[in-house]
Amino acid sequence: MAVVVEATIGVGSGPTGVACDEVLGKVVVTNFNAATVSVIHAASNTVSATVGVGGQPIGIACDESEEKTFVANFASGSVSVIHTPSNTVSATIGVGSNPYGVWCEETLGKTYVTNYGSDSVSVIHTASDTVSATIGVGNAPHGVTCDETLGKTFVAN
Amino acid sequence: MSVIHTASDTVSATIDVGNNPRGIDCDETAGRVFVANFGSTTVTVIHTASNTVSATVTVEASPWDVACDETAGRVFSANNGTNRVSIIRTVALTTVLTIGVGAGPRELESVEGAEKVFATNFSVATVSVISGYGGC
Repeated sequence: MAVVVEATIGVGSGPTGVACDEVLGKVVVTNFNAATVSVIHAASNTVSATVGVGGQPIGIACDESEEKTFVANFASGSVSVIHTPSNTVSATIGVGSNPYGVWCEETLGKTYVTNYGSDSVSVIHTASDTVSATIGVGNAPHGVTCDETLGKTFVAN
Repeated sequence: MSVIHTASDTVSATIDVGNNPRGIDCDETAGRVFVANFGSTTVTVIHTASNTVSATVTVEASPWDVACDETAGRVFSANNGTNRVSIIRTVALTTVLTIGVGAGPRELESVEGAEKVFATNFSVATVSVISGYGGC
């Protein structure tokens, strides 16, 4: 089988972040210029919904266990929480300045958000949508990822 | 790069990588973390257990993000400056193919169950879906 671009899907203006919930078969995309999230049905490569979020959404991550999608709103200093099955915003959480990257660590139930403008990482208790810690890191943190087996979180800065 | 001990939320190490590291992804199967160095045209490979840089892979201009497909054993780099995605073997670290996507690719996500990678094309408001890479 050859490598191909099997589809090109139209979304909102300025698509940036992308994540997937494989259990629900959804791919979610932040549209930075449109303050929305496009929801794509992964199997058919079609947009099934568009959800309004905060200003300049950028990083996005799904917690499949909690059925939540977390969106970093760069211009708003907040994180929108989407109930993934229903495509509706269930909460908005204040974090640091210019939140950028998001990662859901499902073993411990923590969601990590890099605050580009604050040189810090906000830790959200995924189940309750509350900030449980703020960690100082290096300048201008961008992406974040976790190795759940080794219990390590990596932040690019 | 900062390394946080996840259980205690404390910084346990820092690692030097390339210029302007941006996107990052972890392959738990291979025990490696990949970092897109936006300012260096490279991807840094970190040995997760020891927090050390084990290799640097040259990609194309302005890599914005990386994504791992652990099942297929491939890692992808979104090369924002060339509108292409590099497909790299996760263990051998050889680039097997570079494929064109839409203008201004930014981030990538691997859907492992379907063997697809989704790339956001910032400049043209589209998402490219790459497939068929498992055999290459």
